[in-house]
Amino acid sequence: MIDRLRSGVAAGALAGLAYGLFTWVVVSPLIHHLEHLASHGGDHAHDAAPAVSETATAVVSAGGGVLWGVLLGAAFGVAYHLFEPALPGGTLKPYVLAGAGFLTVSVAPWTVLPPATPGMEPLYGSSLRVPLYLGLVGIGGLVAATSVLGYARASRTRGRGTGAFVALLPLVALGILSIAAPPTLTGGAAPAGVSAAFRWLVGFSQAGLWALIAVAFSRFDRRVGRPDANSPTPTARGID
Amino acid sequence: MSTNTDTVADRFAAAGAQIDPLTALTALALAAALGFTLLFLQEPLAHDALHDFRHGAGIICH
Repeated sequence: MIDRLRSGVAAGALAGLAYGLFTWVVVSPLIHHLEHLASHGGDHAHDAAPAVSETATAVVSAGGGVLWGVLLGAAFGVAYHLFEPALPGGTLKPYVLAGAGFLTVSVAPWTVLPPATPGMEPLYGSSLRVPLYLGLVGIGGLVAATSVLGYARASRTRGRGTGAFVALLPLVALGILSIAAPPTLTGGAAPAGVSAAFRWLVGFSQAGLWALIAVAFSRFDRRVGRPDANSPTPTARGID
Repeated sequence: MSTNTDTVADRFAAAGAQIDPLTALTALALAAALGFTLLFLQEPLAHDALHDFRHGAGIICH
C-alpha cells in the first residue's frame, strides 16, 4: 500500500512536472492571447481587476499543474493498490485505471460543464457549479466502474467482443447526457473554431497527464518489485 | 499482475489491518488542514494566480 502510494506520488510528480511545463510554455501564453482577443470585443470580467500580474499567474499556474499531477498520482497509487484485483488487462492495468480516472475526474464533469474558452462567461454562479461538478465526478466514477466491471464480467463469460460492447454502454449513456445537458456557458467572443481547438487542447493535455502517470507508475511499480506486495510481512523493508 | 488470488475486498481488509487508525486519522487531519489553509488563500490572490491552470485543466471555474 505505502509502496504503491509512493510510486503514485513519484509518477504524479514526474507527470505533473511535464504538465506544469506544458502549462507554462503553451497554455498560459495561449490563454493570455485569447483573452486579449476577447477583451477587444468588449466587456470581459477579467479586465476589471486582475489582482495578480500575468507573470505571477503563469508561474503559480505552472506550479499548480505540478501539484495537480501529485494529487492525481497519489490518488492513482492508492486506487491502484485497492482495485488492482478487479482490473482487467494484465500488464495494461495501470492504463485501464488511468482511463477510468480521466473519465471520472475530467470527462464526466465536462459533459455538463465543458472547459471554458477564455472570453466565455459561465451562466450560473459557483454555488451551483461546484456541487454540480462534484456530483458529476461521482457519476463519472460510477460510469467508469460499471464499464470496467461490465467488461471484465462479460468478457469472462461471453468473449471479448461482448465485453467491449457491454463496456461501451455506460460511455454511450454519458455521451447522451452531454448532448441532453443544457448549455452552461455563454458569450464567446472567440470564434467557434478557436473554442473547439482550445477544448481539444484541454482534453488532450488532461488525457496526456493521466497517460504519463500510468506509464511512470508502471515503471516504478515494476522497479519496486512485487514479491512482498501482499506478503504477510509487509514491513520487510522496514518502512510502512 | 502480481497475485491474482486476492480480491478487492481482501485489499481493503489488508489496508485496514496494516494502517492503524491513528495514523490514518493524522494523515486525514493533515490533508484537511492543508486544504483549509488553501481555501483561505484562495481569496483572492491564489485564486487569481491559478487562473491559467483552471482554464488549462478545464476545471469548473472560469
